[in-house]
Amino acid sequence: MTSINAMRFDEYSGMLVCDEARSWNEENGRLLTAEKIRLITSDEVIRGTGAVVLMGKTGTSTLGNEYLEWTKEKITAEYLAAVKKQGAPLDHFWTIKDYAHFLFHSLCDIKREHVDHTLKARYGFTSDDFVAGSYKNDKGETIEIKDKSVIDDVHKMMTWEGMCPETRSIFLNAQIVAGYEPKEGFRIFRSSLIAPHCEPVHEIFTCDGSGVDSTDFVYTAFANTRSIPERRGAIDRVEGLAVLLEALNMANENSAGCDGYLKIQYVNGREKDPMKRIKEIHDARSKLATELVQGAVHGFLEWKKVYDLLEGLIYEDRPLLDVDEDMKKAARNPARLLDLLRGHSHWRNDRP
Amino acid sequence: MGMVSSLKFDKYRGAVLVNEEFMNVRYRRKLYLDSARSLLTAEMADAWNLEAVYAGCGSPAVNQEIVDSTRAVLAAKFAEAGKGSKKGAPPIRLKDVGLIVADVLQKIIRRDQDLKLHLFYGFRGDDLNRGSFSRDGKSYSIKQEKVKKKALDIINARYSDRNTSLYKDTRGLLFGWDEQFGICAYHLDISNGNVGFNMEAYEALGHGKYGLETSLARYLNNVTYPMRRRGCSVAYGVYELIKAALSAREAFHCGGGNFNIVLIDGSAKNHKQRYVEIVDERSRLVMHIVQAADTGYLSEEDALKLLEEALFSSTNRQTMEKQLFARSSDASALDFVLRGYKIHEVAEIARDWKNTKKRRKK
Repeated sequence: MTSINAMRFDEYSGMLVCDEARSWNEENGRLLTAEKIRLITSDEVIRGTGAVVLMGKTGTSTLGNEYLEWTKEKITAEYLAAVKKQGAPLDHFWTIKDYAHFLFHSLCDIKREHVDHTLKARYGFTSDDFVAGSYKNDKGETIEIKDKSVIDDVHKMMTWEGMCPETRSIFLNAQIVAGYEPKEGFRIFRSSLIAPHCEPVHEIFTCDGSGVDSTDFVYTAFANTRSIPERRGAIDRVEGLAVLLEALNMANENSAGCDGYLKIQYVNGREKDPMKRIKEIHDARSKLATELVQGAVHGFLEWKKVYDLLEGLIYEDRPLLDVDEDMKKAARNPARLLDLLRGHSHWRNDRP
Repeated sequence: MGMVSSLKFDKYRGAVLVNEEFMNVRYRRKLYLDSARSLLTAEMADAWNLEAVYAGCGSPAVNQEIVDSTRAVLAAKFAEAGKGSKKGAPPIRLKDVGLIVADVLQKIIRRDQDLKLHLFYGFRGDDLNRGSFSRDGKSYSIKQEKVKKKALDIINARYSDRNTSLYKDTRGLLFGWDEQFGICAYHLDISNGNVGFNMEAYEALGHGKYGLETSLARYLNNVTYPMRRRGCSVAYGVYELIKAALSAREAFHCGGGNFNIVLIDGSAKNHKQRYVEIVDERSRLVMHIVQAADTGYLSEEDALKLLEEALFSSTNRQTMEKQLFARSSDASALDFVLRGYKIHEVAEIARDWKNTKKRRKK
């Protein structure tokens, strides 16, 4: 239960935002610990290639953690091997598409490993053995896999046919890969194991996770009203940020399991220093940013003022308390704005 | 879903707390669950010298039906008795209400089984017991093993679909006061149709039950028998209930919305004074008072004084809120706490705030 989101502002920049809630065990424990969107390019890769790539995951949290950490290491290893092979710095490493496909196939490897663990424990063979139709047991004897029931069960596990529970946690996963690299600029890809695919996002945004029920409405309403040149790459970064926050606020309000602070990741390929191409905001500033948008959505703050305050808070590093004070000063009715932010019913407070 | 908890403060006083969040349509979060309702009209409560509140979690529809059907049975009994004890008929006790709820619950379960059996196989529960059913004058035996197995799974709540799992998770609490036992409660379990007596009237049900229980246990496990028998003040009892609900909200999903509270005071002379609901902005206010104390920005002593006033006086919410901030050890930090900022970060923000004030003075 998650909300992962990405928006392309222009050919150099874009933003990814996610919530931080995860559910724990059958009793639906609530923990605000999940890092659902992470950088998958290590410092070495960023310095060497100028690429800043992030991946957002929805689905099984433990699998996502394994996947994100493992693939970051693998990408670094691939990069170092390429540098070693060439014997000199690379002119170009991978496009975002290459990253997305590499990640999809890495996830396939993780899937096969997890399925193999179950198959080894239950039947004593791996998925490769199953495809080959036979395996060698501990005594070295070759055993043919012939039984129809065994074949049916194993095939269900390997392909998630009938959504069998044994491999539900493996297949119920989807990803967003987005970022900037110097050759093709800022791009977004999405992939999924649920209905297996890995494809570019042609819209200016994409979103996934249970929060999609809410977020998609907001982005669609926004994208529907952008002109063609805007959609092709001229989204104002403050306006884009405000829309992302509005959508995530809606998801946090309406979707069980979307909760906590938002993690905002701004990618800006215009920065000369590759290490400065990613800016992450995940603390009280992100909470205040959501409150600014909440205030505007419910009519307590002027949108123009909110845009100014967001620009200062997120992009220009204005101190949190200065922005907080300006927000209260700018409110049409500061007491009612505070009521809203403290969870009082805003419908009743905001209507005659 | 949602959570339900209750606590007996002493022989005459106790409270039920419920929250407003539930899920439907996939994982949609709704904050308008109204799950604690009186089963009696003021007239009945006064005539029978009784209070009975039903609070349920799980399926809102099942709980609604329990409330509606129980109210209808009680209304019929009241009418039949010609205004109850006033005309010499034996008064209704909370246990009698519990038995009515049990009967209603068992009928709901049986009807639900019949719906499924009729849909799948064209017969009902009685036919399964009999081993045969008739249609158009022709009798059919129920012999097919696969049919019998699934039908029994339905009867024994082993069959699961999206709707039945909601039924299985449904639990109810009947809480109240009568002259016989004072404050007491009954636990309702829809998976087996049972209604069990709960003398201590302590209960924790629903999504956040382990969060509720852990917090309430910290209080209850640390008071002695004499302390428990003596009981606690209403303000203190409500303080513990809200603290438990905040703990459940923190650690479990589905703990959102206001904490609606029903206070029962059996020593009061009539229903209007015996049955008090704390809802909407007043419920948010009492939650904020406990939150302030729980996070260390208000002393427990001040919290109890404010709670006493918030629960029993007509002082308006805004005035009470001013008092809350005035008594707080750090009003600006408390503002951030009540807006949902992370507690450990609020301490850092408060330090920054002092530096900011110094910077602005310069």
